[in-house]
Amino acid sequence: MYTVADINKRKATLADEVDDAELVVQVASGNRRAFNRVLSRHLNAILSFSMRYVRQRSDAEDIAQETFTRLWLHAKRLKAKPHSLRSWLYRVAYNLCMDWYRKDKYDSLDDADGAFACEETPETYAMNSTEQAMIHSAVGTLPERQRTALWLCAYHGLTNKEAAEIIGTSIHALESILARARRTLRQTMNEQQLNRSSEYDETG
Amino acid sequence: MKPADQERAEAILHAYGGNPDRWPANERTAVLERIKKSGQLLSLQHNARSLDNLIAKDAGETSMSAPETEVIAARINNSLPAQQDAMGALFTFFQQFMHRQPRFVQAGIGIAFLVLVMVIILPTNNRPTGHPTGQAAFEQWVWEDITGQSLTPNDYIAELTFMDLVDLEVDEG
Repeated sequence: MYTVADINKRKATLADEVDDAELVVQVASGNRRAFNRVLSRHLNAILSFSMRYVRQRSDAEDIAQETFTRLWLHAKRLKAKPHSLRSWLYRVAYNLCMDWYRKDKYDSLDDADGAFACEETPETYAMNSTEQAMIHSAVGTLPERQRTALWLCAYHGLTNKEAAEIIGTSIHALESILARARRTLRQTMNEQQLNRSSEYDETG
Repeated sequence: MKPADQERAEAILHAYGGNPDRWPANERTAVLERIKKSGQLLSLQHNARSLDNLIAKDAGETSMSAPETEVIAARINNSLPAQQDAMGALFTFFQQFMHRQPRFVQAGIGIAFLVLVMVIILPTNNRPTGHPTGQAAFEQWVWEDITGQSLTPNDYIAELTFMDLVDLEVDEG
């Protein structure tokens, strides 16, 4: 004998089992419920990814909105291609973030590297003493491609194939980009820890 | 499975870190096998894990709460435009294509389109089709308006008898 709760649970499980490719087909035929399911699966990740670039929540929301509107409009074209929905969404969001920088904010992304690092204000000074702030600042100083590759693979858990597709490179090149990023991070963290310990020695 | 070679295992640890879940799925078992046999790789994995732990502290920084995400999802839903049909999509594609081209290419495509219209499309309107042309339709309308008859001048003359023609000649004479 099944209870209503059992049936609802089973329904939810079945809904989760519908894969992204099937959802894209349904979205292409104008199915709003399928579109909502795509939103519930991927919106948070796309928002989080966009916020890493633009740092302003409202801008990240605009980028996410544009990304999903493009999915709604171009789902018919997308269903004919073998790319995964997730990497397609990330790629669109990534391109929009790049456009956002190039058009409105900075002449070059690498000139803007400092913008990703934490600003040293009295309020943030205390926070900067934590390891979290140090790693955040260190990631912010990486060149754009290294930072994006790290965000995609280490933060968002994308596969190497998906990440390589998004930043438009080969898997082999992606691996060397990631290795360089991790090596730079390790060096920066070591230097920051050394600086902090020498500051502590001077003041203490 | 055959263990990965030392170089490849090192490359994977340097690129993807110490967590096997982050490694390429098709190489995971082979790399784990190699690490079991090498103290140097084990130490490399340990160091990579310590960096992974630091990175993980920054990874969750920008995620939003479920209610916040729902509000944004509702906003996206409410502002969705109508989906395009095939012609609309083709038109949008053409617009985007033209937008990406340099000015001289845009001008060239525009001129080619005009030539196409003049050479192929316009002459087809002047080909004899068996239907009345604009001029003939106008004459028909004038004829009907004056005489109140739907017959064309030619049809009318064809219906006249020999005696009617004699009468016409007499009247004109």
